[in-house]
Amino acid sequence: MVVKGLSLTVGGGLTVLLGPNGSGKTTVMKAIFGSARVIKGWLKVNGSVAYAPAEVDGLVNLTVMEAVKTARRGYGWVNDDDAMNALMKVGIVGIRNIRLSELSTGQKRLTMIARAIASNADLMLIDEPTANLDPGNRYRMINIIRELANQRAVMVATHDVDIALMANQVVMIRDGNVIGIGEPNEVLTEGKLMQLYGIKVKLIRHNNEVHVVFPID
Amino acid sequence: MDNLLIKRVTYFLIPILLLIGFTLNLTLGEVNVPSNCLIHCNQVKYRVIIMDIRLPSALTSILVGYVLGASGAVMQGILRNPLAEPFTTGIASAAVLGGLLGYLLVLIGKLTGALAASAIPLLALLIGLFSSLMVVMLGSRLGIVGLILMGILITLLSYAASMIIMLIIESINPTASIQPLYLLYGNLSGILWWQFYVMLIAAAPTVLMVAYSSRYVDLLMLGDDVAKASGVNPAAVRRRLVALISIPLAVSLAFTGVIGFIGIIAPYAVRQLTGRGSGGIIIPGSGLVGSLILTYSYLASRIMIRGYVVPITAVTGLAGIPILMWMLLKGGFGAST
Repeated sequence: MVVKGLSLTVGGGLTVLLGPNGSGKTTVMKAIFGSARVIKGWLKVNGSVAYAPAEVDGLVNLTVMEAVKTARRGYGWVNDDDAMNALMKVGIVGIRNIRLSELSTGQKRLTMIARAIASNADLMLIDEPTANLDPGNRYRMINIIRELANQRAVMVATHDVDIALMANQVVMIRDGNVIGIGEPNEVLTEGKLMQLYGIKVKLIRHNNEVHVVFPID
Repeated sequence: MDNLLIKRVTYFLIPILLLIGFTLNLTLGEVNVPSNCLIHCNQVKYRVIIMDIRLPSALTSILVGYVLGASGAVMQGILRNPLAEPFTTGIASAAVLGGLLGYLLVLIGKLTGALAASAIPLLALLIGLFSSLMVVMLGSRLGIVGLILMGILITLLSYAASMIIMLIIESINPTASIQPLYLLYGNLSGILWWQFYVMLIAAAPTVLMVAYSSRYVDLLMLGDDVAKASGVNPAAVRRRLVALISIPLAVSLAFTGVIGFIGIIAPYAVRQLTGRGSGGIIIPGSGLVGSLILTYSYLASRIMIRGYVVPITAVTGLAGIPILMWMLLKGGFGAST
């Protein structure tokens, strides 16, 4: 996957990479932490990074606590207190001794987010946090991300427009091309969203909130 | 609560069982030594049997069991695969090839004197170590699958070369028994004190350094991308850890031959017993359980058929393969391992 024409500065708050599946959002994240190459142009990461992937291999035998304790903090590893605080922040202290292989998708993602929090990284990269979650867990996940973005720089890759709506800046990517970049109220237009997903999109404004609907013909 | 009680009891039980097995390995055998002789022995015959014959072998079974169990746990962690084992890099078949090569060189008179006496273990060690390092140098860049495939290829290559060397040996001397075959079956009898010390010296630094690296093993379990984002190069960690465990593995392979199944089963048992997955627990735990399995396997191999020593791998296979089948049938390779 190659992503072209991306010019972006992330200083703080929430940055959302929005696009359909396979558009190159994860590739941008991988470039940031060094799993993908920058072919042309430059990329500068000033500070530490933590990555919370969308999927964790089902065979992982680590418990939640053990997984969080694999986070690096500076040149060392996180200690028990940092790990415990991170678990509390995302509300999964109760499952700390359960293995990742026995958890649901959402619980595994929360574990990886707790791990990222424990590392106290300057930039948190969260990949597809709400994919395959039921509405209740999706709502909880969105709240956790909103709270995290108040404290540090968070970058989220998602196809979930609701997350993009609360972002400080949105990057719209389709087939490796950046088709829009800016604040949500600038770029999240019906036209751009239709271009992004290739289907009809309607924006409904209600009590100062914007809702996205995908009407069925 | 019951579960916790079982765990606590197990923690105490394993060292106690290990001590009992160790004691039995000293007393039982072709000649049964009275157990009071372990503390104070007046008879020179018994003292020789215990001190010079049985003690080095009994200690070796604990040491080699630890090396196999712990390195199995390391391999399963860094390859993210519960079926990985210490010999996944092809080190075992390469060691067998090395032993055969050493024997051939002695047979055709290329190695003489002191070198000839230790040609088999020496070449088993060197070729085993060389192949393992080659696999990890070439394969680690290709990720987990690349590393496993490279190990399989080296195993096949070693077998092919071994077959040819065995034929050459036969063509030179049709009546000669092929001595290096002990490498194929696993053998703990007749280990000498100096051999035990060499294995101990080879194992000690690795055990310490692997313990220090256990968090890296955990990190690699979460995937290469997560490791990279944490500033850790997964290929470098794999290279370092495989190289580290290859040293004691190659040395013990050279003296005791291929002892199968312990490296797979010990980590599985420890994961089941503790309910944990962290290398900090699984690696030393698997070492201890490996010692336990090999101690009793060695005991069984000596007392099963009177007058004979059954090959160790036959015993660990008889005990281990049913466990592996059971793991497979209950789907243990997936979620619950």
